[in-house]
Amino acid sequence: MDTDQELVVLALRGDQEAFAELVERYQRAVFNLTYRMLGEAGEAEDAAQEAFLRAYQHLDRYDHARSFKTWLLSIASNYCIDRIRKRRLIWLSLDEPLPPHPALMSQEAGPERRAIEDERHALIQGLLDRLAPEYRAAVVLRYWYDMSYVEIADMLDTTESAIKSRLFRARQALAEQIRSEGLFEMAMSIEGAL
Amino acid sequence: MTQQPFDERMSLALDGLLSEDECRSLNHSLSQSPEATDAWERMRVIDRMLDTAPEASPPFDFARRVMARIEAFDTRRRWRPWIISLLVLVTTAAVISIMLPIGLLVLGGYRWLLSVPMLGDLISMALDALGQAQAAVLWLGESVLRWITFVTTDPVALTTVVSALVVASIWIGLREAFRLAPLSVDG
Repeated sequence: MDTDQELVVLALRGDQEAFAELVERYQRAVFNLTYRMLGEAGEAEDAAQEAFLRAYQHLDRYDHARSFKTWLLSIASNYCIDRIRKRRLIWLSLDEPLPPHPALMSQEAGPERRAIEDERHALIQGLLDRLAPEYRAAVVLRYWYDMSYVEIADMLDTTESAIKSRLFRARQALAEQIRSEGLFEMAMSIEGAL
Repeated sequence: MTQQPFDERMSLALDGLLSEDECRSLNHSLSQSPEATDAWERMRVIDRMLDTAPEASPPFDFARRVMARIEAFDTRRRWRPWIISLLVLVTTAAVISIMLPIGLLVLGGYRWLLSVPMLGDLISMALDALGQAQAAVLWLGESVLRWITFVTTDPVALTTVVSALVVASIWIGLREAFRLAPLSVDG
């Protein structure tokens, strides 16, 4: 199996199949990032497609010493941050959350467990949506991609101490939110039920 | 002044970035403050929720759709040099078609063209023909204008024209009536 770097070299020579292989490899990671950042499946898909397209357009700027996945995710996260800044800010009520993405709805689980999972999804996405985009990006990269502070800082073009501060403030804001909106017990019961 | 219940060490502890001593110090702080303990509990719940949240999957044909966009981009990129060349050509032609007459007429370049053998003769002939056509159009316009002025200002002429129009209308009306009469009888 070709490495990412080999596929990038082939794609730069005009081999679209090589780039298609990279899309196959990282579609889930990129889509999950855009979905967690934007909170809506249609918008997330569009943003994920845009991230791949931008990566393809600027493939010649890719530094082969870096991980391709990290580079791709940094394109996606920066694009999402810009997109959130540009779009009209709509505060979503936790009482009326968007329906969860179909891929997050467990088909095998029973209706009760599925309902709990949907509730958890709505809670998580509702909380994330209220964070500033820079904080949201740090949280998503930390939790879903298990990245270190240094890696997140590298991706978001900032310093390690800034990421440390962003994660602390994001967690503080989330903890404040579940207290002020009386969601602490709900969160506890959801976690206990799963 | 009330002490802030949140502490940056809590965030670092969740990421496993505190040393043993720092952990002990944090635990000591938490045991001294119920507010801080409450804040720490809420942070831990958030941490567990996020830590166990599933990854979202893209739609099944996502990769195909991405590649379709890339194919469209490549097609545009392939055509771009041709489109740019075409635009340059069209712009150049437009500039020439505007600047050339200006150069010839305003700056007197036509005099040089007239001195060129054959071409000068052709241009002279064309200019003569244009002059004659212009004179003919002017003569025709003036004649029509004079005739309209005469008809509208001379009472005899005006009466004659109006009478002629009335007679013509009556004649046309009668002719149409006779033409349609047999049809209506048969019909």
